[in-house]
Amino acid sequence: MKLIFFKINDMYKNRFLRFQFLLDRSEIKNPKILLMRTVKLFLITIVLITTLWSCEFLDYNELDQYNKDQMLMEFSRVKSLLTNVYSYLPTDFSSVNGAMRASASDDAEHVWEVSDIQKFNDGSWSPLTILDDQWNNMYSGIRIANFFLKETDGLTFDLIKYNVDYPELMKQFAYYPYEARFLRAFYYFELIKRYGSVPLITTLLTQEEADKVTPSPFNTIVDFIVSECDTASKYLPVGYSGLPASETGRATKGAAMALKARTLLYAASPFHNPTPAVNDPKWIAAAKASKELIDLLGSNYLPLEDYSKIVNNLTSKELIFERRQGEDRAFEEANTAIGFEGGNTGTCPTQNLVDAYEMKATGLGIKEVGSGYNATDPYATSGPTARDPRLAMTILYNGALWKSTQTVQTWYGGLNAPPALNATKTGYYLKKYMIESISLNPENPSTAIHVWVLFRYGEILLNYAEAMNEVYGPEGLGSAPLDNLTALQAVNIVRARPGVEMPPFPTGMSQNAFRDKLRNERRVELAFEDHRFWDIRRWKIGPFTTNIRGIDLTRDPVTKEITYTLKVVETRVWDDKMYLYPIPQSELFINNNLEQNPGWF
Amino acid sequence: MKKYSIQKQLYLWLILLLINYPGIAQQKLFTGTINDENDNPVRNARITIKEQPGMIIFTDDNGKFNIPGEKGQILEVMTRDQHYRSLRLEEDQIVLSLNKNDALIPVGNRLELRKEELTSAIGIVRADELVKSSVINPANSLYGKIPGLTVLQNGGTNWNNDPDIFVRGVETFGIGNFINTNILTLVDGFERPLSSLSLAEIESVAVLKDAAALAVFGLRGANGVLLVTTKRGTGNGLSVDVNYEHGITKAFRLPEFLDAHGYASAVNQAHVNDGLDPLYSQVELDRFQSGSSPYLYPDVNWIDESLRDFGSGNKFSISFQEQANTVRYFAVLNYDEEQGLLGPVNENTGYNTQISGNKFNFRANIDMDLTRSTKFTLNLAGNLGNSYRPGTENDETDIFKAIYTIPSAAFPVKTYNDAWGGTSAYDNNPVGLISASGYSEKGRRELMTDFLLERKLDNLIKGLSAGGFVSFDKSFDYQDSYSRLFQYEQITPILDPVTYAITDTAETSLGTTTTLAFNSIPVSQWRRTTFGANLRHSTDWEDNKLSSMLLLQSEELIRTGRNNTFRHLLAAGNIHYSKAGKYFADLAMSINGTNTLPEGSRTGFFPALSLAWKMSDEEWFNANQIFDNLKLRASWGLSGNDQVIQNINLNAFTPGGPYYFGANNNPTGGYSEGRLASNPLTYETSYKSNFGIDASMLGMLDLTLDLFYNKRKGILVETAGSVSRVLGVDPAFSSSGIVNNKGFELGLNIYDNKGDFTYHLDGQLSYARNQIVEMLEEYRPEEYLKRTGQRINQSFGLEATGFFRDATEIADSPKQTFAIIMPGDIKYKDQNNDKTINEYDEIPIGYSTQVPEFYFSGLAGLKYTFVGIEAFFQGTANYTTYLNTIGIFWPLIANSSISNYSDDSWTPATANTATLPRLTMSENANNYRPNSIWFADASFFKLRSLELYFDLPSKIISKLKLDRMKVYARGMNLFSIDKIKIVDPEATGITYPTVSSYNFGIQIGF
Repeated sequence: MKLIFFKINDMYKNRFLRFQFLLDRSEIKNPKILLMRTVKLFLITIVLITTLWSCEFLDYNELDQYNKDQMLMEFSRVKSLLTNVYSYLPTDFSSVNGAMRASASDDAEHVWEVSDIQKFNDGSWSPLTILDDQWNNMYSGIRIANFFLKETDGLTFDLIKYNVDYPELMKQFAYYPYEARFLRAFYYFELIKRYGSVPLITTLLTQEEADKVTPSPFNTIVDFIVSECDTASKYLPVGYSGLPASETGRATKGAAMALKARTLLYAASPFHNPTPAVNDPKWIAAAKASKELIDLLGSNYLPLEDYSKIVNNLTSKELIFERRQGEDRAFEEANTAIGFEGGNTGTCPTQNLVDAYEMKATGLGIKEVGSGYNATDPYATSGPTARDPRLAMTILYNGALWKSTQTVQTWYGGLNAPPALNATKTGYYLKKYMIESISLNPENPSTAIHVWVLFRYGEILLNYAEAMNEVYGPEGLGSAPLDNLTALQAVNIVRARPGVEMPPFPTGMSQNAFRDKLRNERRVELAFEDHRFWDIRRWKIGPFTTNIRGIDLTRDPVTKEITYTLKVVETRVWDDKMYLYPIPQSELFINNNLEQNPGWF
Repeated sequence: MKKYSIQKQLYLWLILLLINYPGIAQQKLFTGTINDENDNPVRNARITIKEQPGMIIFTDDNGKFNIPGEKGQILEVMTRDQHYRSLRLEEDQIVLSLNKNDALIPVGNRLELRKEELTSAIGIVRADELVKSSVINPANSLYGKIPGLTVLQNGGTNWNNDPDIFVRGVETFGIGNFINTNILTLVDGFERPLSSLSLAEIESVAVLKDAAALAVFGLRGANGVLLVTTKRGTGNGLSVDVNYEHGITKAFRLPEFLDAHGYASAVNQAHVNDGLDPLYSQVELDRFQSGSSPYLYPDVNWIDESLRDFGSGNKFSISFQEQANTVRYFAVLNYDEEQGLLGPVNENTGYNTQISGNKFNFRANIDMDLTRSTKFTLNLAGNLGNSYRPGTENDETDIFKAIYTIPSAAFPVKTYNDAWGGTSAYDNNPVGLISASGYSEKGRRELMTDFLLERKLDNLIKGLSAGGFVSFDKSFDYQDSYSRLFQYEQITPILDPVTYAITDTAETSLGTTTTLAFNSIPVSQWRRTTFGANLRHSTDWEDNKLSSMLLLQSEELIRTGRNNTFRHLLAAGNIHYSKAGKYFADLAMSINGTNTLPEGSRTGFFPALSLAWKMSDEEWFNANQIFDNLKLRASWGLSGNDQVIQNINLNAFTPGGPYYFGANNNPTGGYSEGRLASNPLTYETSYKSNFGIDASMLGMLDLTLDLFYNKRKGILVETAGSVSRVLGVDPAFSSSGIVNNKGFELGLNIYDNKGDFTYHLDGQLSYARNQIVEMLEEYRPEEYLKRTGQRINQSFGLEATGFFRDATEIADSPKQTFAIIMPGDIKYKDQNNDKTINEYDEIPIGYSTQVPEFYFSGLAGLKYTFVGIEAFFQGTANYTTYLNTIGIFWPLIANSSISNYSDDSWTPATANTATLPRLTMSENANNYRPNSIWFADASFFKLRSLELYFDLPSKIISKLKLDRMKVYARGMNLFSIDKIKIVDPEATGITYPTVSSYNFGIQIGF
């Protein structure tokens, strides 16, 4: 292009010479020469312009982005495509417009009345008022995974063939498609647990195709996830620490097996499997999937991690797969109690959850006869009235220590209590996942790495116990590989973990009694790890989770004695349609093949 | 003077003798008189004979001339005010009365047509009207001057501000913040900003409105074109014009903020409304009111402290023009200077911090006849401008933001320790910003050059001529700042908790005082190169006339920043035909290519056809006594717009979400697929139809009426609303938006004279109503939510039905989901009856916030002998604005001040009469959101100028050896009738205020 401009410049220079030539008086006397010159001049100009027209004068642009070919040319760019697929992994750090999804379960209530999360609870959720919009987000993750699978297949990166690290890079690259397939399966699981049946897309759609897709039934997608996980787990490594680049955090064999186990557990659960057969194959499949993973990980993962070190810990012993985050403090800003520096309150755990914690000494629920529960010292951490230690590690209650200096005061008039604006609605604040060392001092704030647990060994054990109990009862065994670990044994591993050491489940429980106690165990063990919201749905216990309770504390100004008064914080709206999310109305408007989930309109 | 004309004749004969012209033997002398439409003689009109180029005669003071010629030759008359007539020499005595139909109208590509011949819709305003404005940027002289041209004033200093200009409203919309409504401004045929010129240079400004006029501009015409023509040398002998004007400026309107007591009471009220205890005790309120402790309980009127009442300005221009032998030139020097409205500007030694600007413009337009058939034109122009302001970080809006948002009770200007007042919440003491933050200078250097060569080629084909041109412009803006920071002091009284007596004070020094730090940055620059060539041909036979033009042009504009280079190639042609001076037809077309679009769709073809019929020239029409002139026009054609986001035809990959790997959680960059390629992608095409009537009636009334209907297709729109999100990536943009735009323009002039009395009344009314026909809108559950079918930039919001009275009413009403509702909050109408107030209850309110539908103006002038008075009004209607300026309309939030606009805020006592919601200290998302309370009618009716002038009578002038002399006093923007009241309805945000000005000037010509 530059050349052409030089050319033009030259031409113009010549033209000026010609103009000067025209001024020559002697020339003027000969009009014919003059005429010829002018005509020539004019023709030259026309030729010049038409030449320009046909050449690249108009091809000028200043694009500075890669196109597809450039993306696929270099290993690092291909890798960055897969990195992007990982970025769609979910957390429940403030996942619904600043609130935890847990605040839409009976484990918590969000302090802010006009928060979107309340629409789950007050019935104003609708196909028009979309909450937790993963329809959009997950299909974006699926798209980039599909792109990766389609376009990077067979790439050899010849440009770097003779680099020293080429073999190592190619070794990493060999895992990439299976990572992508695992992640894509993960995103489909995120979709089906919300929407039931969704379109199963494994190609790169055009806009026209996207508008005509048809949904696949829930079970078809379950089968797809299972088969993808089977393939991925076949090829993925057990861990990355010994491999080139040591990129821990990538999908492992265990992660793929864990996804399969959880998916099959959901598929076998009452919501999707309302009338299980005797020796129900779905429950057996779920139990087997969990057991295969337990067998794979075996004793390496035992004993389990200290309960207080499970979350926000990259090196947690029982971690199978996690959603990593950079250094920030957004979660602490969103959930620190009012009254602490920078605190404005967010998630308020409910009395419902607090009541689920059993008694440390007896292993009994607080309402059971002989449990040893003392209503005037409900949060005891030691002695005969002590509660399950996981309570203190999950929830901040009155008297709990926070930031090692300040005691939480939730009695009326206390530092962290009403009538202060934005004080807790339930009497509790969140502790789990909150990093205590983060400073919210506006002058000198600090940050830390947050790690969201996606799969951990404890969950797999509970998944296994649940599935086994449904088929074989608490203490029954099946055929291999279900022949050496009972449901009861599995759950007791969890309860016996260091730092918790709760009494084991008793022997001789009925299947139903075991189920109830296991569900309570699961609620406590996995509290605020984004399970309760989904367990309510797959167990179909929605109507029993609407009564949200809290506690009022009053302190006698003289004796400093606290009085506890239970209260109802909220009576939520439940409708059975809420077992599934509504499909966004705008999607139905565009695509006639989609069908709204039952009950939503 | 008579002597002079005899000299002229002698000179003429001398030329004739010198020119060895064949057939001189048959020559005879023709004599004639040129009159204007009021039968006054036209002096200094140029008379030429087409067949004898080089011979130029001028009319004398009585409009008379003698010219040698022969029968059958074409006599051409050209007046100084751009009227043109040609006629075939038959009679010895010629009497010509020129009228409005003879006015030359620029039609683009340096061509002009007599108004009579015009078939397209073109509006024009000439220098004599434009110079009635005392402005620096010529764009600001255009308010209401041309039917169909909407010019909306913006805030900002006179030397920096640029109005928004639209032709026939708007008929397109951009995606996001992308602006695609810019019109094309051409100065002497080359794209240039109007702000680069000074008024003294401008001969006329024409607006091209319909396809017939715009088709030749191809991809750049659809939004309308502004043709600016600069002055050229004309007239006999040297004439010099000198203008000087002194102006005094004054803020047009400034909001009034509550004093300290009023502010503190309002804060208390807000606290009570928020359910809190009042912040100030009665004792403290009293201290604010009494002013007894001005340092601890200050009451500062920041406007009074920061601004002075009047600014001032001077304008000077001198121009020379002459027709000498074969050279004609016009040269002008223009200097504008203005001092702004800041008050405390002399606190520093070595510099003053007044906000001010100056601009020096120069221009030389030279036409040379190199030979009898070769004309060379050189236009050389440029400007040097400097503006000065205090050294605040951004620009002067920092200062006005401080003035408008800092409460009167916040802190004193200076504390008793002679330190700048301030607090940790308010680090921007306005007086400190003005006088203690150094200063900053901004400079602009612009050079504009055109070279044109035109050659007649009659020897080849009779009537043929060819030309070539090159034009090069360069503009550069830089900023040199000498800025510093200042320390300020916060003084807090310590009160006895019971009696509120001041027991002590706490003094805190905040910030630091630094020395002047020099920083120089290039702000922006652009350069433009255009070159091309054209062929022209004109011929006639019997009563037919045919002229045609062919143009090839290449242009490049490079501006600062990426994707800011624009290249165009244009081939344009035009054929103009007339028969019997009654029937006219134009066929215009162009092929235009652009670099902003991908290959294959970057070139467009734009044809247009237009016809005109001068009905009044039909013989059967003569019986009609009402019409002196009646012409009908009709046009249809295409025009394009290539202002689209660049490179969207490619599927680019963009940095996407990162992830963290490894034992150290290393952040690793991700890349994701960007928006899908937008293909096919094309330019916008406007299908424009126009029907017009030009009429003159009863010898005193001119009327022009144009009706138009435009359909804009190919507008780039987002497809997200029509593509399933299962796609998983941003869907392509689509060139499938459609907008209809229809309306009319009416221009009316009435003029008459009764003896020494002359008066004229001009009226203009423009109406343009657009409607979005297609925008691939997203799904909207309710009909009233749809943007399709509405105006472009129609305001949407909730409909307020009143204010909540008490908790019972809140409980009984539909749930409002934006914030926790308290009594005094705005209650909204539940449009869809779903018992919830949310975004689905937003309805269209008012009109567009972008452009008014009605734009009108009126001028009334009266003159008695040499004294005249003229008033010019301009107004708009069907126009909406969103009053969301914090401090002025939205009080107290974000620690801001409160103006008297909030006087009508809700309190329990005024619940029945309040027009605004309760005061609150929080950024209440229920009240402060688009709704019918904050969308206000922005219509206005302004007195743009009022002028009293003395055109000194010729008796005095000739004694002074002058040509003419005018002395005047002129007021600009004197008042406005509108509904906003506390600020200029055209500038409701935080800006340097718009100004009124009082100007005294003198114009001398000799």
